[in-house]
Amino acid sequence: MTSRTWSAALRSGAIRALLLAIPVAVLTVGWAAARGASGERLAIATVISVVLVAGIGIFVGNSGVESFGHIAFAAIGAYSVAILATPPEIKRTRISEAPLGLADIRLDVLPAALVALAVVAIAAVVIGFVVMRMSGISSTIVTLALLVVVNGVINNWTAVTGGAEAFYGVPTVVTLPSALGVMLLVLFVASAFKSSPWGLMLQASREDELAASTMGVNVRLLRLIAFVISAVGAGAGGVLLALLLGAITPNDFFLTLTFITIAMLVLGGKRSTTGAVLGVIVVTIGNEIFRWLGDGPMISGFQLPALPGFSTLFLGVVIIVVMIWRSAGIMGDREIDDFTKRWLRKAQVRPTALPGSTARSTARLNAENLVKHFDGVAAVDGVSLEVGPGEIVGLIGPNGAGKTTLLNLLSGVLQADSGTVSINGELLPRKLHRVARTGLARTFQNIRLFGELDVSENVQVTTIVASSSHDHLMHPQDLLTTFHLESQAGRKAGVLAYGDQRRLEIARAAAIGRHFVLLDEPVAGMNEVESLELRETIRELNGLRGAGILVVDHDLSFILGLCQRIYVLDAGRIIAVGTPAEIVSNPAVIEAYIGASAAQHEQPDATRGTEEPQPDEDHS
Amino acid sequence: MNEFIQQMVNGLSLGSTYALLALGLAIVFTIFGLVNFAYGELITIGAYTMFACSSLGLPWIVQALAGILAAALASILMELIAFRPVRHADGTTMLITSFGVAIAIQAVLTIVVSARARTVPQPSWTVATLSVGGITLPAYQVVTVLVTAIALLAMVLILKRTNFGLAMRGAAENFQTARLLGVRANRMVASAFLISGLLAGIGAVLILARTGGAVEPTMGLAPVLKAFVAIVIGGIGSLSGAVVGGLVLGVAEVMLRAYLPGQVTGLTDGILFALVVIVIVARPEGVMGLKARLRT
Amino acid sequence: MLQIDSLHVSYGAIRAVRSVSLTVEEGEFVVLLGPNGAGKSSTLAAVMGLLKPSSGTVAFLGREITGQQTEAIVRSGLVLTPEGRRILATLTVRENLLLAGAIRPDRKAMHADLERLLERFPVLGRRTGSAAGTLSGGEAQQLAIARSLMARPKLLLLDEPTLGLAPMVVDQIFEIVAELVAEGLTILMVEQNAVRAIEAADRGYVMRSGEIVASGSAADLGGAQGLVTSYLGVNRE
Repeated sequence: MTSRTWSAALRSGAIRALLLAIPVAVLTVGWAAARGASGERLAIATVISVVLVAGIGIFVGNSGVESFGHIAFAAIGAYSVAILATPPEIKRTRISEAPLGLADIRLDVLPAALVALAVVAIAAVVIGFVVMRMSGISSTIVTLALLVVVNGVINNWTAVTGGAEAFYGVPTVVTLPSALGVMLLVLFVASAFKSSPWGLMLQASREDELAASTMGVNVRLLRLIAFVISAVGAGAGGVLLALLLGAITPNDFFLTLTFITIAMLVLGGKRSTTGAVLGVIVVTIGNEIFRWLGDGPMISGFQLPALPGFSTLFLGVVIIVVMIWRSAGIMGDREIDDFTKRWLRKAQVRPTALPGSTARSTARLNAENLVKHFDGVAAVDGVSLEVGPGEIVGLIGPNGAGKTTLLNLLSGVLQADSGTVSINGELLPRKLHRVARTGLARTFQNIRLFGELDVSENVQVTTIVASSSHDHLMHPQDLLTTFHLESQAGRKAGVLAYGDQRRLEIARAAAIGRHFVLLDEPVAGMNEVESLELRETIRELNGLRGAGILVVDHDLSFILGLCQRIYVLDAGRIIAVGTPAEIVSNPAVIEAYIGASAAQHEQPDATRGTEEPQPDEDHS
Repeated sequence: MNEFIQQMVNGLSLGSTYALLALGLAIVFTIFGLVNFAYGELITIGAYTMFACSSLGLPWIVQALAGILAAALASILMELIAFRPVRHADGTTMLITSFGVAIAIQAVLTIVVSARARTVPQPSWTVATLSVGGITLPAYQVVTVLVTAIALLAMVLILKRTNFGLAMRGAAENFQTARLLGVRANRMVASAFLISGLLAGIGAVLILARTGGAVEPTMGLAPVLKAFVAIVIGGIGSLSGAVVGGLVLGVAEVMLRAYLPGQVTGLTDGILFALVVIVIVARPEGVMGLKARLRT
Repeated sequence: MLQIDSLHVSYGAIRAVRSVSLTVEEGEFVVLLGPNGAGKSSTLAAVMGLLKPSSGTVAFLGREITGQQTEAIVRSGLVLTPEGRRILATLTVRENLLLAGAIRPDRKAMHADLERLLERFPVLGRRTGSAAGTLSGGEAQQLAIARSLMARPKLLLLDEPTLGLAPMVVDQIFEIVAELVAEGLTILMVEQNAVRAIEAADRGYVMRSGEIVASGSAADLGGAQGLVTSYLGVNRE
C-alpha cells in the first residue's frame, strides 16, 4: 500500500530518480571513457533520449492520452535556444532579417535555455487547451498535426529559423555531467509526479474518465498541467540536443526522432519512469548493433536524422512485437523501487490518521420535476423525489423504466432538459467534477473501478479530493477496514473478486459521499449470501456518518430488506412511493414488474393481494 | 477566370486522389476499428513495384496493374501478420502497431533499394496538356479526375448493388449485428484490407503521374497525413464523408497555395492542419464519434 | 434441438450466468424469464458465440457449437433477434432483409421469401426503400423479426422483442410470435411481460442472479403469483 501525499511523492521521486540515474551514469560514463570522443557523443545522446522519453511519459503515461507531437516541443526548445544563444556574428549571416532584433541578441547559454523552456511552456499551455479535451483517435491526429504544423513553421519561417537548411553556430556546451544533471532533474519530476496526488488522480482518469470525474477529479485541468510539465521535459531534451549538435535542421526534430522516442516509450512501458530509462537503453543498444550491422563498423557520432535501414527496421519490429506481445511494455506499471523495496524493507511512514468526523449529515437531496428526453422519447418524465438526512431510499422499476437515467441526472452525469436537483436548496453544480465535492457520490451498474490502480489508491483518489473540499475526512485505511478490504489493499482493483469490487466501489464513493451515496444495482450478479453481506455493508456505510443512500436495484427482496422508503419508476414516471410493506402490496408495482398485460389479466388478484395460486388461464 | 478554372481542376484532381486514399483508410477503420498509419506504405509499395517493373522494361500499363495488385496484396498480408494479433486491443495499441509496420516497411525499402529517391519514367501523356475552350489543362489532372471518378463509381456500385457490398455496409455500421446475420467476420476484414490496398495502389499510380515518378521510402507519409485530415473533415467512420473530406481538402490546398501571399505558401500544410484541429475542437464528438458513423 | 449444459459466463469478475442448463425441443415455444440483470441475454449471447462461456457446452441439432464463430452458428440455422432490435439504420428496409437472406444458396426462394415477408408485414412492405433508421420502434421490431426469418431459421431466439414498445404494439408482436409458433417454428424467447409470455408458451424457465430458479409450464410455475415469488425472490404476505 502506497500513500499518495506530496511529501511522500517528493521523497520517493528522489529515491527513484537516483536509483535510475546511477546505472545510466555508470553506463554512459563507462562508454564515454572506453570510446573517446565519439563514445561521449553517443553517451550524451543516450542521456538526452532519457530526458525526452521520461518527459513525454509524464503526460502519456499518467493521462493515457496518446501524443505523437511532443517532439514538436523539442523542436521549439531547440530552435529557441539556438536563436537566443548563437553569437550574433554567426546569426547575422543567416537570419539578419529576424524581427525583434533576434539576430543581435547575445544571451548566455543558461538564461537562453530558461527562456527557451518558457517559450515551450507557453506553447504547451495553448496547445494543451486543445489536447486536454481529447482522447483516443482524436488526440493522435491533433498531436500529429501539431508536429506537422511546427515542422512546417520552422521550415518556412526562414527569417527567424533559417528554414530547411542547418542552423549552425549554436554553442556546443553540453557535457556528459551536465546532461546527466538535467536527466536527474527530469527523472525526479517524472517520478514525483507519478507518485503525487495529481499523478494519482490523472491515472484514475486514465483508467476511467467518467468514474474519475464523478469522484471529483478535474480531469481536464490535470491533463493540462501534466501536458505542460511533460512538454517542458521534452523541450529540455530539445535544448540539450541543440547545444550538443551545434547545428540543427527542422527534420532533426520530426518523424525519425518521433519514431525513436515512441519505440523507446512503448518498449519500456509508457506508464513507468523506469520503463522510460530501460526503453532508451535497450533501443539505443539495439539501434547501435543494427546500425553497425547495416553499415559496417562505423560510428559517426550522433546522427539521428539519417538512420540507415537496419536500425530503423529494428525500431519498427520492436514496436510491432511489443504491441502484440505486451502492449503495456516491459515494465508495465512497475518501477525500480518496487524491486529494491523488497530488500530495503523501508517502513512506510503513514501520516497519522486524521480524525474522521462523526458529525452526522443533515443534508437533504431534492429532485423537482426532472425531465430528460433521448431522441424525442422521454426517458425521465417529470420525476420528483427526496432523500432525507440519513435515509435509505430504494428506486425500483422494470427494465427500461428510466432508473439509470434518473441516477445520471441526480449525480450530474447528465443534465436534465428541465427540472432541478438540489442539496439543501442549493442547485447541483453543472460541472461534473464539482458534484462530488458537494458530498454526493455514486457507483455504477457495471462497476467502474480504476482497474490498474491498487485498492488503496482507488480509495485515495477520493480521499484526496475530499480533503480539498471539506473537512470530514476519513483515512483511507479506516475506510478499507470498514469495508473489509484491508487485506486487499495492495492488490490491483481489476483482479479482485466480484464482491470485493462492488465493496471497493462503494468504499471509494463513501470517501467523498459525505452526504449522499447513490448505488446503481449494487447486487446485480450476486447470489443471496453475497447480497445479504452487501446489505450489511450498506447499512454500515449509512451508520458511519449518516449519509443518505439511494439504491437502484431489480432485486426486490434486497430493496425491501434494506430501504425505509421506496420509489417505483415506470416509463419515466414515479408510479408509487411508500414503505416496503406498502410497495409490496401495491398492484401497480406488480403490474410494472411482470408485465402490463399481466395486470389486465390479474387485476382482481393483485388488488386482493392473496397468496393462493391463481387458476390457470389457458390462452393457447 | 481561366486561371481560377485551372486551379479548380487542379484542386479537384488533387482532391480526388485524397478522396480515394481517404476512402481506403475509412473502409478499414469502419470495419476493423484501426486508423492504419501504415496505409501510406501501401502507396509506397505500389510505387516501388512500379519502379521494379519499369527497371525490368515492362510497359507502363503492366507497371500500373502490378503496382495496384502489390499494394492490395501487401494490405492483406499486413492484416494477417501485424493487425490480427492486436485485433481485440484498444485503438491506440492498434495505431502504434501500424506505426511500427510503417517504419519497418520504410526500412526494408531502404535496405533493399535505397534511401535515396528513384524515378519511375512516366509515359508521355502525363506531361501533355489538353486545351478545352481556351483553358489549358495538364492531362494527368484530367486523367486523375476520371480515374478517381471511375474507381469511386465502381465502389458505389459494389457497395450498393452486390451482396458483398451490402454485407460490407452492414459490417461498417455494426460489425456484431452483421455477424448475427451471417456475415463472415474474417472474410469481411480481409476484404476491407483488400479494397483499402487497391485504392492505395490506384493512388500510387496517380501520385506518380502527378510527381513525375519520384519514389522514395518515405513517400507515403505526406499522402497518409492528408488522408487522415480528409477523414477528420468528413467525419471518421463515414465512407461518403471521407470522399467529401478528400475533395474539400484538395481544393482548399490548391487554392491556398495559389492565392496565399508568397512568403506564407510554405505554410499551406500548417494552415490546413491547424484548420483540422479547429474542426476537432469545435465538434469533438460529432466529427470523431459514433454519430458520424450513421452518415455513411 | 438446443441443449445448454452447465453454462457459465463471466464479464471480468461478474458472473453473469451460473450453471445454466436448458433444452428446447423441435417445435416447442419456450420462454426464458427473469428480472433485468438475471443473465438471460448473456445466456443467449453465449449460445450465439457473442460471449465466450467460461465453462459449459451448447449443442444445436446434436452438434456441439460452443466456441464456434457467430456467423457459422447463424448459418447452421440458429438465429437471434437481438435485444434492442439492432437493425442496420443506414441500410434500407429491403437491404436489411436482403443481407440476412444473403447466406442462403437458394436465391430464388430467398427472393420469394422476401416478397412474402413484405406482404406479411405490411408496414415494411410500404417502406422497403426507406432507411431502416427512420422506422418507429414497433416497425423496427417487425423488421428485426422479419430479418431473422429471412435466414429460414430452424430455431429462433427472440431477445426482449417487446422492450420499449407501446401496449398496442406489444399485442401485435405477441400475435406475430403466436403465428410463427402456429406455423411450427421453434422459438426460445426472452421476454419481460412474464405472465403473458408464459401463458403463450409451452413452458418456461425463470432466471434470477444468473441461475435458473424455476422451470416448467405456466401451471408448474404457479401462475402469476408463483412468478412474482420466484421473480422477485420474495414471498408476499
